[in-house]
This record gives sequence, C-alpha cells and structure tokens, in this order.
Amino acid sequence: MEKWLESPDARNVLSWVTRSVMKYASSKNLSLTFLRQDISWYDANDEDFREDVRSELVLFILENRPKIQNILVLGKRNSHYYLRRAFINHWIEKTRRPLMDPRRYLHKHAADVLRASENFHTFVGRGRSLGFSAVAEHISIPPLSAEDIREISFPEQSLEYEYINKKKVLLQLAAYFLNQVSKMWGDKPVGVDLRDFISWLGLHVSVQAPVPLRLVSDGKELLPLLPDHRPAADGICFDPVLVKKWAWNFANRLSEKERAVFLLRHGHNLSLKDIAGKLGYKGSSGPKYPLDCAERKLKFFLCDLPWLSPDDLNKEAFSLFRDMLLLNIKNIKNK
Amino acid sequence: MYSRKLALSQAKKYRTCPPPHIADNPAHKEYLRQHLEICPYCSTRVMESNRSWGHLAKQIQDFSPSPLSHEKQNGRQTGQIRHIRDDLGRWREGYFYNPPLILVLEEIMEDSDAFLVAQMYHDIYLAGPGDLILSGEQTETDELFVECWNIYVAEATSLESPTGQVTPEITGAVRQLGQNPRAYPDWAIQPKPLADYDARIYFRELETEIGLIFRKR
Repeated sequence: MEKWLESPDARNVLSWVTRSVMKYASSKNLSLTFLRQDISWYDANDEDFREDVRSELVLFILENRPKIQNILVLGKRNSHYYLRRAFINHWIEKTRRPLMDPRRYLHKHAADVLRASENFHTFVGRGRSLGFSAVAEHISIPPLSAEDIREISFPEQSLEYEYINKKKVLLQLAAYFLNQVSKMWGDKPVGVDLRDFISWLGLHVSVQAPVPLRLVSDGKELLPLLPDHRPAADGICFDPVLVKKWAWNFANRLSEKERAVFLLRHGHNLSLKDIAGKLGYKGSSGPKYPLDCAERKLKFFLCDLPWLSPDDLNKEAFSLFRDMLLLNIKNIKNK
Repeated sequence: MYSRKLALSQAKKYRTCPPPHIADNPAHKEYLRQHLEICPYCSTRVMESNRSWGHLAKQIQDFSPSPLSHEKQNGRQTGQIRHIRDDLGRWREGYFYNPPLILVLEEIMEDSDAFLVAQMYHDIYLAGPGDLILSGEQTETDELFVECWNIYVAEATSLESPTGQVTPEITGAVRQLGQNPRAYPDWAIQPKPLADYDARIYFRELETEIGLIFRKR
C-alpha cells in the first residue's frame, strides 16, 4: 500500500478525490473541525485547505488499509469514486459529535430521539429529509421561511446547548414547535421538516462549532457554546447612499400628477380640499385618485426593501427616505 | 434560512427587470434609461455584471429541459406547461414585463385560437392559500406552483412549445381550488395562510399585473 501511495497513479487518484471532496465539503458546508481547523484559518489560503484534506485522506487510506487495499491497488473500475464516497462518509461520521459539529450532531440526535418516541410520527418528506408530526394523518406543508421561524418564541429559560440536547427537553421542544406551527396553519395537524426545527433551535441556542483547542489563546479551555445575541449589523445601521438612491428611484416612478398631489399632501400637510383648490380640481375627490395611486405604488415599492419595509422599519432610514423623496419631487417639479 | 422578503425581491426582479438580451440591445437604450431611474435593484454596475453573466445564461438555457416530444405536443393540450413566447415581453411604465410560465387548463371551444390557462411560478416560498404546489415528478420539469386564482385566456399562438405535462387529476384540482381556495386534495402541500404585511400579498399584486399584461385582449 505504501508503495502504491508513492506511484503516479496514486497521485492522480489522490488529487482527484481531494479536489472533489473539497468541492463537496464547501457545497454541503461540512464542518472543518474534522481537519481540526477554524474556517477563518483557510480564508486566505486555499492551498493549506487542499494539503490538510489530502493528508487526512492519506491517513484515512492507511487506517482502513484492509478494506481499501483491494479496491485501489488492484485498480478496480471506479475505485476513485468509491474512495471519495467512503472518505466523505468518514468526514461526516467524525464530525457528528457534540463538540465537533454541534448542529449536525443535534440534527442526528433529534432524528434518533423522534424516531424512537411513541408521541411522534416520523416520515420522509421533501428532498428525502426527515419530517415529524403528532399524528399519522397530517397535512403536508412547504418549508418554513425565516419569517415563520422567527415568529415562534422560545419557551425555555435555559439556552445552553447541553441542556436542549437532552432527550426529554428535545421532545418537549419538538412538541411545542409542532404545536406553534400547527397554530400558524389554523390548528390543522401538520407535518414539519426536522431541518426547520433545528433552524429554530439554532436561532436561540448556539449550534456553531467552538474554536478548536489549539486556536484558543491559552490553549486550555474550549469556548462555551452560548448563543450570540448581539444584533446583526444591518439591524442597527443602514446604508444612507442606498436609501437616497431609492428615494430618487421612487420620485421618478410617480407620474407628474401623482408627484404634485403627493408633495402637497405629505410635504405641506394640506387637506384634499386645499390640494384640489391649489391644483385646479373641481372637488376634493379630484386629487384622491392620483394620491391613492401614489400611495399604493409606495407601499409596493417599499415592501421588500431593507430598513424601509414595515416588518423591519428603521425610523432613521425612513425619515431620510421621506425627506429625500420630498426633495427629489420638488427638484423634478422645478426642472 | 430563506426569507419570503428576499423571495419577493427576486420575484420583482424576475418579473419586471429586463433580461440581459434586452438590456444589451441598443434598440432598448431609452427604455433601459427609464428603467434604471425607477428600479431599486438595477444600477449600472448590476447591468454590467448582467452582461458578463449573459454567456452563462445562454449556456444554462442550452441545458434547460428540452420541449416535450412531437407526439406529446400534438396530443391533448390540456395539462401542458408552457412559457408565453419570449418575444412578447414588453416595456410598460419603465418596467420590462417578462412572459410567465402557464398551465393549459382547457381548449376554448368557441375560439380555436385560445386556451384557458393558469399562471405558474417557481419559488414555493411565495405560494399562498389557493396555490397548488407541484413536485418535479408531477410537472415533468421542476418544483413549481400553480396560481389557481390567476386564471385567464391566452392566445394559442402566444405560447412556446410545452416543457412539462401534468395529469388530469392535477388540472381538476386547479379548477377546484380556483372555485374554493381551501379545497385541497389529500396529497397536496398546503401553504401557510396569509398574515399582515405578508410578502405574498405584494407578490399576488405583481402576479395579477403580469396576468393582465399577457392575457388575450
């Protein structure tokens, strides 16, 4: 086997498997704790990543010599595909431990616990992932969106990984989650995807791998698994350049009539009657239609924009948008 | 986790921003200028990158599912999944309306040149009550959903070759849901009811507008 590893044939196989496994690991987000590394370690240098994967692969071959020898040394067809699959399985298996890849471990543990429980019915859902429900006769639902998952509050006091990973607690949380999703669907019995349950847990309990031992400064303790409750940067800050650009875009989106009515109503706070008088409409119902159109367009324009849509409104950003919009309308009018 | 708001942004771009072959065409220069003035997503930089992605888009198109066999095309047309012809995409008030995918529900007897169709969309995160989500096996293409509330008459000549086909059971379910948005068959995936400020409310506004543009006049 050692001789084979030095041959040109082995170099080709190892290079191909390394490249292919690297691609797979990136696309499936496999835990780099397998390589005893933190992701930032590889940010700058892809070469280090390749070298680490390659040396783990060689180690894997040597450790599993009896099984792999026949396939590789005898040059069986598709041997490199076999090696790739076996090595990926080895990687996943190695990281399904609480402190290696907490999220993957939690997923597997929850799946085992739910399957064994008499209170839940498990099934294979979309994309062959595991689903669970309270009863066998349930309705199928699509995957939950980020908004749906955030809507469900966390019922437990303790937010520690070790605590929620206990069988009893996991089952209680699964029942609670199922119940909340069922409420969203008008109290119908639903079947939920286990991945959605894990995503929800991940919002409240840290399921990120801790920094490996040798990267911690004093090298003695692992960092504790605690959730990161610091608000995301884009929740506090907004991009004023972008907000100003959107105000310019929306001013151009309105017709001349809509701009005139909108400015008098929202810039000068005039009543419909006064607007009608100023713009020469016969009655106060005259400016109502263009104003309704402008407001409808505004709602639609803002509905998916960060900091300006109703569900994540940033007051400062909205004030800037409003001021710039009125200014742009005035400028366009004066041109 | 994927958010509905992001899905809505993608839908707005997908439905109302010009694709690279239109943005690159000098004949559309003035329309494009108007679009850039009002569109919150497109900017000169984005358009540049669209151009560089044009080649890739072409390659993807080459790999996209081929039209159904001649035999299937000439068979019963009810249940076929088709695109409205690409060249019917058009500018309106600064937006470029891209033709949607539709499901043929019925050949109209009094008018041999028209079909009753239901509009479809591909991102199931935007499916709401009354929409029918179909798997790749059910559509013979990809996972899609049928907007059973967005049914209209389209000209037969405005349709591309079929890219998928559904069973009569599915077209029947679409008609049922068109009448009653709660009448889901047992096998169907049921979308979440609409909530306040739900992105799907705005998505439906957009889809209604698309339907109004591409229906037979």
